Amino acid sequence: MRNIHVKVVSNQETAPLCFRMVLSGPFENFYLQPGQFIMLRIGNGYDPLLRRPFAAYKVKTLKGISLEIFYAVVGHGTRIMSRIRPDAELELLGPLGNGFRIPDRTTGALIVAGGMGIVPLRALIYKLLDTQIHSIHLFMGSKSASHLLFHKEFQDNEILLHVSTEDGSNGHHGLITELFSHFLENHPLKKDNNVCFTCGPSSMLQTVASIASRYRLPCQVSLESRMACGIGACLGCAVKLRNHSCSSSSPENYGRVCIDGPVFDAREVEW
Amino acid sequence: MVNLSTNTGGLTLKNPVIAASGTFGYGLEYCQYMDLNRLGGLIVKGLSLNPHLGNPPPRIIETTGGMLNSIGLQNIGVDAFIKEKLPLLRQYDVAIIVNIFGQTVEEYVKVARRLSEVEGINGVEINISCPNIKAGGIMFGKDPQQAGFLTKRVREATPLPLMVKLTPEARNISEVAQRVEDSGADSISLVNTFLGMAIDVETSKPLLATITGGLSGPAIKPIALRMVWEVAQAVSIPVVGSGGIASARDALEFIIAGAQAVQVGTANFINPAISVEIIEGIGKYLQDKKLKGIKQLVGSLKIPAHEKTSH
Repeated sequence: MRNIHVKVVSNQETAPLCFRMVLSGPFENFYLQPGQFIMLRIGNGYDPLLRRPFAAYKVKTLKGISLEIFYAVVGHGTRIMSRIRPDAELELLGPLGNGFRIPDRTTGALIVAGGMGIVPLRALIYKLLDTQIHSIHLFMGSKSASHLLFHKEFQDNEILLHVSTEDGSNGHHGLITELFSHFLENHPLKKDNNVCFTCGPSSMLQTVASIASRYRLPCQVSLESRMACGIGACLGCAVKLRNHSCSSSSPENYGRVCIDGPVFDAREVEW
Repeated sequence: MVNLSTNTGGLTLKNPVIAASGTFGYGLEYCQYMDLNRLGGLIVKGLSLNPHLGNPPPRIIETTGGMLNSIGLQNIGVDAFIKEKLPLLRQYDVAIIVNIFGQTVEEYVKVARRLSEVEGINGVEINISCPNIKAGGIMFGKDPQQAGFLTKRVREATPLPLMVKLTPEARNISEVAQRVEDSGADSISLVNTFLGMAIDVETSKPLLATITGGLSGPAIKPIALRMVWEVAQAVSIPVVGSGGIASARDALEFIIAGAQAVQVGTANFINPAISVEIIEGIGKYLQDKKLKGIKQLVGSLKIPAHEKTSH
């Protein structure tokens, strides 16, 4: 968990305003659990000033181990990031935070991904498959067909894929939470052994959490927040939690997305 | 070998670099990323008598060359700090200074007293400069008289070296500094953050839940430096400079302006080991300039003769 120097291998637009950046660096002993994140310093100057948090994915190729980051251009920092050229040197802090936990005796997973939310869930899917959990339903929603990430990759796997797009260009025309809810309505689950994992926009997470709760389905949500440090010091990424462990008498408390999360039990979060 | 040690009023530091309160957690957050033993000192996140929830999110937003925060002094309270954090922190060879705040004078006094009862704390920094809480904090720091009164009461409550952190929001910061000095402070640290705001033009909403927040980072450095220079001339107790320090050269500017030591704040977020780099950079500078120690550099600003009369 140190500051390491990495090099940009490529930085390409994969869909409108969505980019894939590949980094090379000393990643041999870089153990990134699904759901953990990294803080990337974009450039060496003061613009942008702060690092940005990203989910990352470790890829082994013939050339060695690299790290993949997918990001959407949503603001000043990511706009600057989208102009970074190959060979640029960046600084990376990580792995950070607590990732997804696969409870013992899990037999099935229901994964709900919204937009870029699929990125941290991708590593989880492979970990589930490695752990011999083969009943995996992946609910993937995005703005349009071109924004669906890893869509083809998952088609080749033994995953049951449910797709929705907001413009109807692929799968269900509408929100992924509609597909998820509809599925649960029509497919009674053996409730103790299924776990729901979700990542995506905040409003989607809240809906998924409430649907999961209705079906008494354990649910882990990966939250996103603006962060300054990523290591638990600045308290900038606060999220309101219920009955948090550090709380004294107060019924609620602020947790830190960076170090108490980013993955939380959905019941812990005060939505 | 250059001598980096310095003194901030009753407190000898092995080097002049202190991690600033609010940017360094309880210190322990950083121990995986840097060697805490290297620091001159570290200032623990502002502690109150009881745990403090802090402000609702969003609490931070980046601005050009800086960031706004409205954390609101979230902390675990002085007793939990003493019980859970201090025993671990004491294992490091670093001066531990605790930033304290309260909503009332009495609360400051109680926290200071509590900290004086335990081993392992090297100093107290009184926070009269946080812009993000409704009562206390900056309320005491804007008015010289109140700042003096509070300092006097805390002085009576603790024998620990006392540093008072000033706000740049005071109408006349030198006047506040003088009053604080007269009231028994051992040193003065400045500046805390400047009150600022940012707006999302797409929604016309403020980007912080509390609307306004404290601006820190490189953006504030020139103003902070000017204030440190002014205050260093106005008081005779040591001054600790802070405000946007992100490199050894930044730190050197504050020292030349008159600071005995510096606090590194926001830069810790960008590079958790930045303080160590700054310490090394200062050492190298002293070596290159053939200076024996920091003391030769403090307040060494050379003002050309014709400039002295022009302002």
